[in-house]
This record gives sequence, C-alpha cells and structure tokens, in this order.
Amino acid sequence: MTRTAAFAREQLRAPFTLALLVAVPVVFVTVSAGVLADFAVALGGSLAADAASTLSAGWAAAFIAGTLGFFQAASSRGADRRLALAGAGSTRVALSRVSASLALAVVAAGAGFAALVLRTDVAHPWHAAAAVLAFAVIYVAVGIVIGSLIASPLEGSLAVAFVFLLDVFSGPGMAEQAAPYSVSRKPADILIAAGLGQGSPGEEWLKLAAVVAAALAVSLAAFAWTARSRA
Amino acid sequence: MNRVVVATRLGFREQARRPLLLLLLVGLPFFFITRAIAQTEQLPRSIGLPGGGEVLTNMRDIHGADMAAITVAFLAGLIGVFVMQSARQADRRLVVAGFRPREALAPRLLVLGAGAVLVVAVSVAVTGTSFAPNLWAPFILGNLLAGLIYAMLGALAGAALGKLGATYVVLFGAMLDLGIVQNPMFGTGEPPAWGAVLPGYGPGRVILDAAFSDHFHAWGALAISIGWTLGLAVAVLVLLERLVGVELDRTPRSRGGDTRTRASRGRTPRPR
Amino acid sequence: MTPAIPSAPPALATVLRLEGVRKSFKTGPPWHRRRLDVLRGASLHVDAGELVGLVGENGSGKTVLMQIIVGLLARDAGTVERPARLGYCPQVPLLWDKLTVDEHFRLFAEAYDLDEGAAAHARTQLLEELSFAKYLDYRVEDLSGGTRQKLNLALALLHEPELLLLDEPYAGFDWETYLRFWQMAEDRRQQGMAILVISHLLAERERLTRVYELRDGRCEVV
Repeated sequence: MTRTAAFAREQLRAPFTLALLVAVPVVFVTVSAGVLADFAVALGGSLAADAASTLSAGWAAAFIAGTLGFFQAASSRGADRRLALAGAGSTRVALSRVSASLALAVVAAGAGFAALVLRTDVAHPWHAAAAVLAFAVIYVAVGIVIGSLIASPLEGSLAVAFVFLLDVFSGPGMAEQAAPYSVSRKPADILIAAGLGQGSPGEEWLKLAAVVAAALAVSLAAFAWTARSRA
Repeated sequence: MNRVVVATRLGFREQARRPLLLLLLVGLPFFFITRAIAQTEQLPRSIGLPGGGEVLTNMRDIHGADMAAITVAFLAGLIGVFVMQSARQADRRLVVAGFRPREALAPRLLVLGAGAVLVVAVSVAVTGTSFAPNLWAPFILGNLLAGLIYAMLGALAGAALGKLGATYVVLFGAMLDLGIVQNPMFGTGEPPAWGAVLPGYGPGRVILDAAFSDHFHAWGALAISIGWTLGLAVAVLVLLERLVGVELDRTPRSRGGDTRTRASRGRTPRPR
Repeated sequence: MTPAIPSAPPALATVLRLEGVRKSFKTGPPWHRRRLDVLRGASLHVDAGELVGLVGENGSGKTVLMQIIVGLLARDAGTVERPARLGYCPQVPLLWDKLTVDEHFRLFAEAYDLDEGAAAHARTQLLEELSFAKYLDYRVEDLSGGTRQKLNLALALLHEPELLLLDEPYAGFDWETYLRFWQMAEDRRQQGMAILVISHLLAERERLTRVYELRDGRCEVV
C-alpha cells in the first residue's frame, strides 16, 4: 500500500495534475457527447445519441489511463529495478505500479462517468460504470506496454495517441464493422448497449472479464519485466 | 549570432537522431487523415462560410478539409510540450556559460517551428490525395497557423504543468476545439458564438473558407489567427526567458576591464 | 609533512564573496504552507589561487548555495560578488542525450566566446587530462555515468575561468580519475584560478586552503 500510494503521489505532484485528471474527462464528456452520434453516422457507424454519449466517457477514461500507464512505466524503469533489487522484488513492484496506475485511472474514469450520468439518462448505469472502468484497465495496459518499450515521453505519447485513434476509428459504433484489433471492442459494446437501454448477455460479460484479466496480466508482466534483476 | 547558428544546427541534429519520432510525425498524420476521410460517408451537408455565404457539400469533403488542422494541432501541441520540457535544464546551463536567454531559446523555438511545419506539410500533402481545397495558399496558411498556435500552447502548457497535465490539455484541447467546436460536421454547420474565443476559431474559419469558397473572405479570421500567433509568441518568449534566465545580470565582457558582477538585490529579511 | 599551501598574494584579491545570503522555500500543500529556511546568512569568500571546500550534511543547502552563486536560484537577501566568467560543474550532469561529446564542446565553446583555435587546444588538453578522448564521437546517451561526469567537468573547465564552482564533481569517477581530478585542481589553483568544491565528504583536506562547513544555514570555517 505504501508503494502504491507513493507511486500514485509521484504522478500527482506536478501542478494541477489531479485537477486535470478530473476536469478533462468531465469537459470532454460534456462537450462531445452531443455530437458523437452525428460523427458516428458520418463515419458509417450507427450510433444513437444516447449510446454516443456513453461512449465518450469510455474514450475519455481510455486516453487518460493510457497516458498515465505510459508515464508510470517510462519514467520509472531505473528506479523500479533498484527498488526490486533492494528487496521489494519485481513482482511486488509491478503490483504496486499497476495498482497506482489503476487508482488514478479510476479517478479519471469516475469523473467522466459522473459527467455522463449528470448529462444523460443512462438506463443501466452500473453496466456503463463497469465498461468505463474496463476501458481504463485496458488502456493502462496499452500505456504500460508502450512505456516499457519507449522511454521518450514525446514518442511514447504519440504512440499512445496512435493506438487510441486507431481504436476509436475502428471500434463499434464508429466503423461499419468493428475491427478485430480494436482493443476496446468489448467494453464499447457493453457501453453502447447500456446507452441504448439494453442489458448485455452473460456471454458478453465473460468476454469482457477475460479481456480485462488479460490486460491486467499484460500490465503486470510488462512492469515485472522492466523491474527484473539481470543476474 | 554565431552562437545561435551553432545551437540551432545542433538542435536540429538532436531531433533528427530520433527516428521513432520522425516515423510517428509522418506516419500518424498519414494514417489518421487517410483513414478518417476514407471512412466518412458522402452525406450531404450545408455549411456556413465566412463572409455570410453557404455551400452545399458533403461530410467526406468537410472531413477532408478539417482533418489536417486537427492532426496538426495535437501533434504540434505535443511537440511543444516535450521539446520545451526536455531542453529547459540543459539550456539553463548554456545561459550560465554565457548564452543570453534569447540566444538559448531561439534555437529551441526554431526547432519547434520546424516541427510544426513538418507536420503541416505531411498533413496537407496527405489531405491532398483525398481532397483538393479551392484555394491552396490560404488552406496551407490556415493549417500552418493552427500548428504554430498549438505548438506554442503546448510549450506554455509544458512549462506550467507537468508532463501528464500538459499532454491532457494539449490533446483534449485540440480535439475539442478543432475536432468538435469548430467542426462544421456538427451542429448547425457553423461554430457556436462562444467558439470564437478558442484558439482554433481563426485557423478553422480560414481553412473552411479556403476549402469551399471561390474567393477568400475570411480576412477577419486570418487577423484573429495572426493575433493569436503573435500574442502566444510574446507569451512564450517572456515566460521561457524567465525560466531559462539566471538571476545575476552579467557585466558585458570588456577587454581587460573589470568583469566583476555585484548583485545585492534581495528582500529585507523578515523580522523574527 | 604537507607543505603549506601558499595563499594568493594580497594584490589578487577576492574572486568570490558572499555576505549574509538567505534563502527559504515554501513547502507543503496550499492550505498548509510551511517555510523552510535553508540559508540563514551564509558568508564565505574565495581568493585567486585558493582551493576551498564547502562541506555539510545531506540537505544542509550546499547545492542551493551553489545555485545562488551561479544564478540559477534567486536569493532572498544578501550579496554575491563573483566574476562574470566562471565555470560551473553541476551535481547532475546537465547534458543533451542525443548530442556527442564533440558537439557539447562546440556548443560550450560558443557560449564561452572561444575562438576555434583556443577551443580546440582546450578540448584536446581536457580529453587527455581526463582520458576520454576515445568517446569524442559518442552520444551522451551511450556514455557511462563516470564518462558523463568527465564531460560535465571538462565543459566547466573549457575556458579556464577565474572562478571554478564544482558540485560533487567526482561522483562516478574511478580511483585513477579521482586522483587525476585533484591534480588538475591543484595545477589550476597554482595558475591563479579560484576553486570552490562542494562535497558532503572531503577526504583530501590537506589539499585545501580552507574548508567551510554549512551548518544551520551558515558557513563556518572548520
């Protein structure tokens, strides 16, 4: 817990970061929710207005989580390896890092979700909340993997942006047919269904759980790999 | 002046040694713009133009017209954030060594400007494969102004906020401003009245006019864009000069003269 | 018996003088700001031809004092007299990762206004003294920590300044380079350079003209 809290505080110590973590998703959801349906139709997708609103909360959580994950991984390599060698072990360091990223991503996801429920009537709010959280978990993994491969902040941020935009344009609702490489396909389906007032069948939830579990595993593996001893 | 030339040359060399960056700066606009335009349906849409005119076009052409600006804004913005952040500490050492603050900043700003020009060039070139604006010169100029404005906003955000905060501000700011508020694909086909206070308003209107009008009418928007660019340039120079500057004024070096520096500025100590 | 270190003749006078320098920082969240007084009237001087040490516990404010002398930090009160031409070797090598050793020399030669001939001569000498000539075309990102520190030091010496300020200059040096560093410092001291070395540990006390200890925000000769 001490390590997780310390890693989370590390990210928040720059000016206004915490405020932006909350404000950016709120502003994005509030402003974009109204236009996303038009956007989806223009792109050949088929998204009703309410569904588009819910999707904006997912995307906001995704991008915030992705960049958070990236900066956690990219800026901490040497220090994390040192902590692991000092006795914490690479697994515990990885757990702490992933927990810190998720904790901060949950804050951002929560802010976006709160803006969403205040702006629109979501028929299945808990489904939407779970899906927004899943967006965040998946993108934390994306950011962490990129951060373990790319150290430079500019290149890494661009890489996160690239994956995010690829996902947005290929995902459910935006494309005629969601592409298989769209990493947020599963939570997007559940989020759209929640926005349309529909529940999702158990099978969809199982698939979502599998994707989230895989994302967590990948996150842990990436951090453990960078913090490992070379002995 | 020679110092600035040497530092500028080395500044460009420094950035050129980042192949992944160059790949992303070329690849991202290529993918994003091409994909976005190709994926857009040719649904008819009527939009208002600067000067009061209206034109009936389609969603794909509108997307073609504005995609470059959106791409340019967030790429240039990110470049602004990180070019400035990475240089600050080392550049202060140059100032301690003898560079004047502006001499240390000028190369950095030139690199930033060149980065913005590169993304504009790639974005406009890629756009040109799918969409041809009616007036190329103001179309390019509008995109260039969008890039410079957001590059400088990125530099300011990078100086004022941490990496994470600045990344969010620049990315979401560019997407909301140029991607949604100024985008005639949404709403009534014209930006809302409050959209005029955003930095993307001027360049957005210039680009739209250049894309769809037979003659250029967006002089007011162009003036607004230039005003933003100049205002931000002053703000960037003032802020960054303060950040890289050192506290003691240097006595100009004279041959054989006393080159001591004495500084006794300071507040009166607080009484205990 | 260690020979007495000759002090500078009175005519050369003081190169660096600090009087009553104060510096405090505000820390803590906005709703509970506290003031941390780091320097509470620090005074010291370094004359030409002197090699002076500044020691102190970790967190005593040595680097803050150095940054104030150099101009990277503003002081709250007090006076600083220093020459315009100084060499500064910071604790953390402030270098550009993607530039080579040679390119760093070129950039700093410009900063110091050195002509090509003087810059080339100084560079060759420093590369030889610190034994890192073979890294001339290597980028900083490819250098070891010790070699980066050699470059860090060399850049501070390139223009043979009147005053040399060194903040923990030998971190990362191997034993040979450490000994060579002290020889370099002694050679330059004898040529009239004023040198201030900051360290949390000074094992070479006999080489120093004087040692100040920074304690409770003030400098005392020890």
